[in-house]
Amino acid sequence: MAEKSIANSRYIYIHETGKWPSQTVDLHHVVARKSCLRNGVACLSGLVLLLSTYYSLVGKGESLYVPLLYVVIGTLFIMLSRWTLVEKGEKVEYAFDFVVRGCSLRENWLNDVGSYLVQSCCTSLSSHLSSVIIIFSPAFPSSGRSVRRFVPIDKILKPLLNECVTPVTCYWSLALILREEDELMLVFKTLRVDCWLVLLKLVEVGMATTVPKEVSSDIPLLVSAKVLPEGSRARDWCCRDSGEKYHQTLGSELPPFLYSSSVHLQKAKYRA
Amino acid sequence: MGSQGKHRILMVSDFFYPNFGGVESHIYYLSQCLLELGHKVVVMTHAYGNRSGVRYMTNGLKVYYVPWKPFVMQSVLPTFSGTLPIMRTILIREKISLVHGHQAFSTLCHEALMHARTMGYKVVFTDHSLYGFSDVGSIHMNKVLQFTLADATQAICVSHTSKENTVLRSGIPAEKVYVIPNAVDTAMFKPAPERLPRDQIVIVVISRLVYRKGADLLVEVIPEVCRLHPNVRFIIGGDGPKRVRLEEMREKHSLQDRVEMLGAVPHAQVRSVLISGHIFLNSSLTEAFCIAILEAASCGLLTVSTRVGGVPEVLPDDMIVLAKPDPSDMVQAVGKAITMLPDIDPQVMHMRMKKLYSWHDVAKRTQIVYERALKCTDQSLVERLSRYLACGAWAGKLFCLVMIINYLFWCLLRLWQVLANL
Repeated sequence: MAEKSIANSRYIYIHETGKWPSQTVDLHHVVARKSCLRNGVACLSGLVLLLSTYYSLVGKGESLYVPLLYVVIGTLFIMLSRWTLVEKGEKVEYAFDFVVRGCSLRENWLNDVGSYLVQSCCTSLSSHLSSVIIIFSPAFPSSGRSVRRFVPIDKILKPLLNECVTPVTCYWSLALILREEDELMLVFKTLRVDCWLVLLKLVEVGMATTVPKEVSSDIPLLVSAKVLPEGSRARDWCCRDSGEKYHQTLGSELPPFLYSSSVHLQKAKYRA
Repeated sequence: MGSQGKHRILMVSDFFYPNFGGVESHIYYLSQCLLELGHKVVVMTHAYGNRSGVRYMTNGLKVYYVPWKPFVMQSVLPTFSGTLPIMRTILIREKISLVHGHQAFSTLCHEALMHARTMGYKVVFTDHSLYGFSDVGSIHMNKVLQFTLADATQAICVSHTSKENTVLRSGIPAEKVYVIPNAVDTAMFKPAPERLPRDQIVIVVISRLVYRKGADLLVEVIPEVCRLHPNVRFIIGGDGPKRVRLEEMREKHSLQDRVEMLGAVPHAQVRSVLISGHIFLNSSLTEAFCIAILEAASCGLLTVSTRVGGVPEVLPDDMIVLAKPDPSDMVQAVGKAITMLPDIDPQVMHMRMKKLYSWHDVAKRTQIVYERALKCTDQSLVERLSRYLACGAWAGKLFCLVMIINYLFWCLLRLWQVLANL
């Protein structure tokens, strides 16, 4: 299998092509990097609060409520700062698999998180790829158990970008409209840059013929995202042709509404 | 600010579609005309029932129905800093350059303007109503308005009377207040193709049947007019707590065949009700502007109205008969209007209204206000706090405390997002 990778401070993109086990596959992985600084801040805060609790206990004349308060606040702070989209495992992996009809996915190769989108036949692929299946694999963060759902590409009517509003925030989510089903299938509750790549794949295969103007103006990378040749700079990985403006946008942080917080994925039955 | 003088404006109010009213229409039509001028407009309001989330209206007008439930009189519960997170999120993701709040009764508007100033945005406030000075409710509302306008960049009022009222209530310098009247959609409100016969005179009343809209006056006026003019009949559209009184009046004077009550009239059907009449009767006890008489005049009706608030500024003298908010004076005014009817040509009246009032003109004038607001210098927190201190001996200190807490909360939110992005 041939492998190319591009990395920046937050993500590692790995592209593998080749034959496995006997069919041709084209795999794209986006791996979120673990943040050492965040863990360091959380540990330091915990240590400070523990010391405060200790000294308040040791000190004379102090009531019991003060150290209890320290413990509660400290615990909450540490829990919030350690809260990531998955508790188990150090990385989140989203892979796009190109497989031939009838071939099962390499389940043991993929990690236990996230959803997977398999692209259908597109003109850029060679002729030996005859068909594709779309696979979604929601995971339960607390248990680490993986549940995968196979959805034939023919069943997908349209992908949908939902703009969700809560009393305190807004976010984008990606869902699919399926034939003969009343409910949308949630793919990603909170979109991140890797999920935009998913949507781009759908656009490429013609499933999403239009991207909302709001989205395309706010996320120029979506319009011009391409797989860059080896050796490209990480910050250019999504916006090769988009000009200086977009490079600056992606320089050190994602567009503001791309949250890196949790993705609560739908429960789904495992279907072969 | 966008390219070539184009702005990205956030309109904030508790009052918007699917409600219909003066403020709602103002925000909608102004937003549409600003979109046509090339600006980007986003509206933020509270959720209405199941209508929650993001909606797109005509010409791509984006509306955020934030899931905060209305608390009283269609306004959300005042939480001071509770709306800061969502407000900040919307301002950043939409790349807003200026925030425009509407209506003094809107809690969401006041909080949004406060948060926008905390974050350094320029704000414009439009006041759509007149308010008193002496009762407890007015005193509190005026204090809230004083707090909001203490640091507002510019303000807009819909009439000169409203400007005077707003300046007196809030203490904002008069040079910061602009007068931009409302307008009417003359394409929608057109007269009937054929003139109505005048053997029977039809007087139309369309308003909310509440005290403020003078429903009690109608109870006195209608029987007297019916007595004096046997060929007059009334059509009353609208609903409210005073509807019962009108129905009792109708029963008491046996006017069932001369007073027709339609109940609540959907906005889309207002025109069809108006064109069935010759005269439009407005009995409001207070009005900053009164879009209803504009709509009636655009449909070719002669208007009889109480001389209150900004009403005398709205129509020329040959299109309106004014009276004191007194039953006998109003009955005389109706009599005078009936004698003027032969000289009224609905089509000519409609064409005059088309030239006098236009939402495009309102949008251009509002654009000038935006440009002046954006040219104002930025101010530090300390400079802004000094303005709040001037609001009163105790109130000033309280306002400063609120702004400091809001500022600290904003700093915390920014720090939180930095940590979350690590």
